Amino acid sequence: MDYCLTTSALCKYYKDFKALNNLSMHVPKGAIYGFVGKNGAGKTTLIRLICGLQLPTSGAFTLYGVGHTDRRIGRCRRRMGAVVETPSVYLDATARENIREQYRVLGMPSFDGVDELLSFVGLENTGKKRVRNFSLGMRQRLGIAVALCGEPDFLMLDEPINGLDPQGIIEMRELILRLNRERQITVLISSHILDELSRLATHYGFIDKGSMVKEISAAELEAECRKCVRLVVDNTSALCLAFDRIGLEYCVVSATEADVYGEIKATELIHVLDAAGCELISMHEKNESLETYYMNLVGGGQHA
Amino acid sequence: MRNLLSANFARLWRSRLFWIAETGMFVWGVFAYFLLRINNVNGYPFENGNTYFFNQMTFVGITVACFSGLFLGTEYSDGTIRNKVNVGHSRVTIYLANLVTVACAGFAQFAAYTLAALTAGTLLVGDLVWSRLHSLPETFALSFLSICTSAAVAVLISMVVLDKAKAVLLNVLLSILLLGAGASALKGLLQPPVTERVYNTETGAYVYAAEENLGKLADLGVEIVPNPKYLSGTERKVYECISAVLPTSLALSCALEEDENGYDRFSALHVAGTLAAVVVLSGSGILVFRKRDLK
Repeated sequence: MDYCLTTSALCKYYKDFKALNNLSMHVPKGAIYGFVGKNGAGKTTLIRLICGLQLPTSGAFTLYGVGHTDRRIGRCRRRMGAVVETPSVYLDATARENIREQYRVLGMPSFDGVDELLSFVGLENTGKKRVRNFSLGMRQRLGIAVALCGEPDFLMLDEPINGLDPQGIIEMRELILRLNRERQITVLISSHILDELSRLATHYGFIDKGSMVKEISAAELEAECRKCVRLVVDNTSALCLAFDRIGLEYCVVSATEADVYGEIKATELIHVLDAAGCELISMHEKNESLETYYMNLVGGGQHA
Repeated sequence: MRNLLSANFARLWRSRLFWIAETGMFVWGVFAYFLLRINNVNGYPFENGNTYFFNQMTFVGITVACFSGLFLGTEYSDGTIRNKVNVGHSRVTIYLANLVTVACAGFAQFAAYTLAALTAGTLLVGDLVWSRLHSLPETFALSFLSICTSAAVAVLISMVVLDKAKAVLLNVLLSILLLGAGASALKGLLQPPVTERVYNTETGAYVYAAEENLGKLADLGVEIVPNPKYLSGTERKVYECISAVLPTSLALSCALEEDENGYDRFSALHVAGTLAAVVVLSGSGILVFRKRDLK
């Protein structure tokens, strides 16, 4: 698999505080990577390191296969856009002036794409309104537009929906999906709003106390979180034979446990197992969400 | 670097702060020559307008410091410096582009005042503006060098202190401190070798205890009193070295009408010291800024 970004044992210490502790992660090309962690877990620190705003204490990362100490990293960063924490825009300028300023920073040959970019993020009608007078959602979208000026392949968004109203959240979600689908931009979104992230992400990375707890694709996560009934039996071999015979989808978890997917009546289930010579000891419904999955991963006790 | 300069100058052109500074310098220039005119009318004639022509250099350190703190501080307060780092510009080029921009803004302020001196000055006091402006290109060149030094100090603080308000405050305080230090150093070096006195002779003319009048005073039998504040020997050399590296010292020297009391205000040491100050200040600033964690 091709990766936009990989990190290896990345560390960032602020005096004695370990903001990142041996963090290793892999962001596949074309993915919407949900970077999940509670406040202070190290999400923003990682984004700052990748953007070059801060230097790692130890460890390494690669951007499009180029190491962070390589002289070519600057050129690789041109293929990347980022909105770190708050949008980086001049408050006393208009949306158009901000975009044009970033075009100049990038040395773009003309300002031809400015109107298209403003339309893409829905700010084409802001006219001479100063950014100072924009709503938070408008500023976020302008921040993304600025990040898109260099037509990046990889976009990093740090908490893009924080503080947005429901309308703003929907607009932001649609914008991110369009960027990924229409422009094939790989997006890394750091967030602790899991419900929203679950509507977007194709891959997840769960971070806690500066370390990566788990990386998983959305498909794998869905399989793990799928609604099922956990059965405890005395003989899983007999269970397999019985369920294969009736074509029931299941997954053996251990020598005495299995998960059964799909709708099945309890009496019918007992009857089938009894006929196969398998004793059913207990059964309970399992319906894990991203939230409970995350809480189980990081040990719970504190909210994401 | 070219892209960053292009972006910086475009922002400078749009900046309200820049135009306020330009207008302020122009108004100050007009006001200075207006005062000169009033003095002339009220019987305090000035031989020339030189004193006012480079008068702006007295406060250029403060104006550049204010401008730098506010203009560059906005990049931190609005977070837009991240847009430059994110897209791969090296911190060295970001720093140097900002230094060039602030220095150019300083030149523009200088130009605004000079324009006022040339227009309003000529209108109000006529040829006095031009009467004794000797070595004009030299003074202009050294004024630019002095502005570069002030910019180097101001940019160093603005780029290293990440808080805009703190950077502005520190810039202003330091520029005032440097102005005081430069003025003290220059005051020491400009002391005449003998105490300056005015004698009313029989003809009713005034004779000054300047070097060319010493013979006349001796003829009159007046005792020449050595100036106890006059610096000589090692002490003078130390003062000259301090003055050479102080950014404000050259600026104040530019504001002087001419060399006074044998002090060569544009000595090679002074110019070399100022150039070295620009290099050392900017080098240190780049070193610190390269390692700085940006938020």
